[in-house]
Amino acid sequence: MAEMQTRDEIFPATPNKTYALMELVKRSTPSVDRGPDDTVMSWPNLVLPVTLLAIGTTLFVFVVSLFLNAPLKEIANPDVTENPAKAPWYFLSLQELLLHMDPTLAGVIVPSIVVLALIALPYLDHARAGSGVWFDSARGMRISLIVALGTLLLVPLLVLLDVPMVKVGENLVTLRHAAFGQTLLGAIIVPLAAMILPLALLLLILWRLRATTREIALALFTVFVIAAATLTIIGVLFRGPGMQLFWPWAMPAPH
Amino acid sequence: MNSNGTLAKTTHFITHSRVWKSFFRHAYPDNDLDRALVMNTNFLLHLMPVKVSRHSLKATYSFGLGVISLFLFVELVITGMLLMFYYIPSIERAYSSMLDLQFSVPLGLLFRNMHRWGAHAMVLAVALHMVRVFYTGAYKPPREFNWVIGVVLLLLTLGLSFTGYLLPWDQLSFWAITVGTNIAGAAPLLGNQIRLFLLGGPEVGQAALLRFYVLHIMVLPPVLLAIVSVHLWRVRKDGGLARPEEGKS
Repeated sequence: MAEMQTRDEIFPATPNKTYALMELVKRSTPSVDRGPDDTVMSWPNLVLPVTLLAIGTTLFVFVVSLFLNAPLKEIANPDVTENPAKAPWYFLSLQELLLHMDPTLAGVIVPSIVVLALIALPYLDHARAGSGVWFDSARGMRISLIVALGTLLLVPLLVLLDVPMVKVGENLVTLRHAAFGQTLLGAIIVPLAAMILPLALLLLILWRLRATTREIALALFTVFVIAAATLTIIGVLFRGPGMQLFWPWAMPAPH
Repeated sequence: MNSNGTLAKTTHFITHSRVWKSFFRHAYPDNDLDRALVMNTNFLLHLMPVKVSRHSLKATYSFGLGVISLFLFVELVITGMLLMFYYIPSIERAYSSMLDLQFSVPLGLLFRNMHRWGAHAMVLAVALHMVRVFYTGAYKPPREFNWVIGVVLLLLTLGLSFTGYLLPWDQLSFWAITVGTNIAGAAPLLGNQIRLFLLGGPEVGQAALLRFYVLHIMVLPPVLLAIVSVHLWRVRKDGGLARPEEGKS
């Protein structure tokens, strides 16, 4: 047997040894998929930074808490509506969507699609290459940057297109309302088109570029992250009484 | 004998004493054998591997966001337990217990501040952790399922923050939860039932406060803790932090 010869060559059996190499097996090392690589002892190379992070995180929260008090307004009163009544900041992107479309679409369908897409992501982009590398490649980084810039411009533009600017009788209403009113077209089809058409255009460009699955994932995730961040910033800093848009420095006091 | 000698002698005496060894099981790890042993014989350290890749240690690779999220959670559990000694989840007394915490309980204001800002920081840290994992492609095989667990942990973090948001029972919390649960109420078919289930009634009231309180202190934290444990275990079992194939870094 070839293996027997190899074994005896590598580790010849000698009668004065109480141990011997029993078998050579072709398989991966305990570190999944790789041989022994560029490693150092965890003590102290990993233990020290983790300990410093623990101390640093606690110290940071402690120092902020010394100087900044958590907000506490008047006691809850169901009869006096807060104006503006804002959800916690991490839900303000959803609340912003609610201003522009049907509540089922904004509050249920869009967030459900986002969560399902996030869960499906590793099963759709399952090539092992590129794991552990920021942005996959120079091209991946370029795609992410361009998509981020585009989203950063497009999202505020779409929000501004939907502010009340048309006079109908006594009221100032949005272009969308003036054209379609509270119809299926105005509440669902037009907002849906405003979200899907730019995404479709993006996918078409990526397809023409022969983008890899990872590059498509990079582009779509960047749209999601930048859009969510932009809508959150608009909600936190730019929405005032009546959920109208104001400059942060000209924000009227809530009433 | 100079003071250095005394210090060395004292250190040696302490780290070789019966009590020290019973606690740490061996002397201070100053050689590779002890450095390896300490990682397996210490309960907290055994979460980490004996050896770790240099690539995973680079600050600009992970930014330590997962570790930061974990320690924010620990800090929130500790400050949260302290707040529980004073907070009463009743619409008549919740707000006045907040005022007590702010103005008459020693360090009450500090611990409430730490709980509030720590909670905001945790939502941010967990979200940034997900962004980091995405852009480094760390969700790729064999780590697919740990990414899914991570998405669940993000949702649990949001749930914890949201349920805690109502507890001060001030105008800010009342109307934020009213707006937030109205979003859930917009779901087709089951929307109203989901809202009713969350609030225990048609409006944000005593039933809602109690439900959010129980979810916030009794239900979600143990669930999060259990799933975080699986998350960390999977990090180890999937081979540590993702890193490029050898020779391609």
